[in-house]
Amino acid sequence: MVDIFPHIYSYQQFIDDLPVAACTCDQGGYIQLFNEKAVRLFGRAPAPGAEKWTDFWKEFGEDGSGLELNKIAPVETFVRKPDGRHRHVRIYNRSLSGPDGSPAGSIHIITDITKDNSEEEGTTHRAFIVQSSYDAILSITLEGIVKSWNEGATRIFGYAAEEIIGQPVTKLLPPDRLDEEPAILEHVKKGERVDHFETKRLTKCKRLIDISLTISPIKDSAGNIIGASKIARDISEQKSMARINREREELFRMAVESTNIGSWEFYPRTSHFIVSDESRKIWGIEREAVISIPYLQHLVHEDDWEMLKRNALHAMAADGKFQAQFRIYRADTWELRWVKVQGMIFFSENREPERFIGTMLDITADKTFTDRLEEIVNERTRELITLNEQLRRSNDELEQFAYIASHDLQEPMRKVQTFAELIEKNLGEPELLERYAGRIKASSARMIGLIRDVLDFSRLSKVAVQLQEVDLNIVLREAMETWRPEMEKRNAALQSDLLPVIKGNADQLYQLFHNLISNSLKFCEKPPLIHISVSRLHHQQVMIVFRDNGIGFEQKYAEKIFHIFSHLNAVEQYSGTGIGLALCRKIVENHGGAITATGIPREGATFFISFPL
Amino acid sequence: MKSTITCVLIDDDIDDQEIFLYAMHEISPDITCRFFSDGDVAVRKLKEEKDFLPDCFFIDLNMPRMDGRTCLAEIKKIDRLKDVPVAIYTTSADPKDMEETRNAGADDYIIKEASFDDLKPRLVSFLQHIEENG
Repeated sequence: MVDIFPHIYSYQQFIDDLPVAACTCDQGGYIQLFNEKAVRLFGRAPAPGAEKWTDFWKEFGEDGSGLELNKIAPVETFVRKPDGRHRHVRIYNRSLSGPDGSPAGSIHIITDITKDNSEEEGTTHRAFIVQSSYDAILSITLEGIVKSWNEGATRIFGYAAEEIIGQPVTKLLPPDRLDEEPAILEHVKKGERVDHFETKRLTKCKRLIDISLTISPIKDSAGNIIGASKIARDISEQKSMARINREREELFRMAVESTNIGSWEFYPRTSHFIVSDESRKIWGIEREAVISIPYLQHLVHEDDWEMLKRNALHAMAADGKFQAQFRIYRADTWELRWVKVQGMIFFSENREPERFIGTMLDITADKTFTDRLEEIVNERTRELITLNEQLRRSNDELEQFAYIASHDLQEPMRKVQTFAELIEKNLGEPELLERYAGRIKASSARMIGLIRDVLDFSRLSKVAVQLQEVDLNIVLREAMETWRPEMEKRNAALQSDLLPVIKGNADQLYQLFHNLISNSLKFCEKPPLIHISVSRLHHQQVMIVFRDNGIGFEQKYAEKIFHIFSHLNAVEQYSGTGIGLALCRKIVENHGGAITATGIPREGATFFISFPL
Repeated sequence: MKSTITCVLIDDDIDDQEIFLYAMHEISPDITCRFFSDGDVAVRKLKEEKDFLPDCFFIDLNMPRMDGRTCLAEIKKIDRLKDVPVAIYTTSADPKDMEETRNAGADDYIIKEASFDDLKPRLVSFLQHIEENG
């Protein structure tokens, strides 16, 4: 390069001496020489031979569109300096030729014609902002014709600038909103701005979008309104988010209303409560009432407060989630209700509880239902236990019956057989025949007695007692009446207190006294003396004490005497089948009572019979 | 068979006492039988009558008050009588009763048979056993 400029130093000097910015380029357009003024205008010194003249600045047209720097001079353009400032410049370009006349490069003289620096720069700046804006920015004439259209507008509405410029802006309006545009233009003509007008517009592919419009009038240098600029922002997404939020809120509100869930918040630092109307309803607290911890404490059931506190402390120590079921007294009616609370604690950075939020629900109905279920289950369990007890007793009785069938009932039969054999052996001895025949008759009678008693006993086991009011005085009198001949013969006496009226079965209670008297008369060697007294244990139970002066028994047999067919005494000495007292126990048990006995040998026996009233 | 055998039957059932006596007399008219209807009374009397030494005991199991088992144990406690053979004489055919009484020192277990002709051979075999070992 240098060799084609033999007077290179004079060239540099020439350029330096110029009152304006100037530089030279080689044939490829790379900068060679430049002066101080050029450096000032450029904002920095270019690297000679490495930077192209055309690439050095970014140039824009007045409307902000990019320009190819033309080599044909002169040209007026806007340039952006490296510091971002824009200048309005006029450039004079001139080709340079070598000594032989061949092209050798160019010289460029640039004059800064920026009139009002700040204004010019502002315009260029605005043009740039418009072009690069994310929002749609367009301008229209007062007739509604699109004059300019930025990239943002293309992105939002789908039309390229050349498709829409010169077209009526109503192309963007949905059919039902066509009247919006004249109204907007009315405002514009009056010089008014329209801010953040939310409406809908159609895109090129007829999709309806939500936009927010800001419209400002455009004036010419004389101040006449010649059109309007429109900034449109696509708010479809915001809109749909807002709609989703609204729907969610609505859903939540519906859920809350349909389930009667109350919500609440608590700020421990200020002890401040915020509760929903539903929560107030659950507590029975008026709208105006101020809610505090002590106030709630006096509404919570005294047995549940500690549990509730423990629960909250535990949640604070753990993950902050808590849940509790407890009883409250409603503030308005003082009605006891079951509530369920579920909540979450939010902590500050140093793990201080900052905020409690949660829900509450009145679960009295559920709880009552659950309690009722529990009650039913308990009742059934009790019934089963009773049934089991009955089964066990019935089983015991079956075992006793098996024993009776194999033993007690077999006894008289065996004797009948043996004595029949002895009769055969002694056919010639009338005295013995009579004796053995008597034995056979006695055994048979005993057999019949046993069978009858077993039947009585089993009947007692099966029949449920029909409960009626029974006057025990009458029952006792009837029983005594049956035994009157025997008692008179034995010179027996019976004294009784006034007996109570109990709920029971008269026939069975008659049988009870009949058997007891029978027992006393049977096991007595002196004139029998029976004494019956009554003592009331408490308001639901009465005790009848039946005492005789018979042979008594040793205390160790006190339980055995009530077992079926257990004889304490030799059968021949005291006649009986051994079932009388077993029947007595059965009868008393059928009446929900109990019978026990104490005895002193040769002095007498005492029976204690308790009945529920 | 030894002609002068003395046996004791402890049984609350007087029919059975009569049947027993009849059977013994059929076996040998010289057999002497003594009866107690109550275990308690029997034990008391046996303790009192220090000269009385029977050849064998027959004890019923199912008796009121003192039952046969207790009675057997009480007799075995009396030094003078502890080696006298004992046969249980009962209606019970329960193997448990047999086992328990054998362990308690009973030498034989005779079930009160319905047929007289079945009973007698059982009694005879017990009496023979006594003679052989006596």
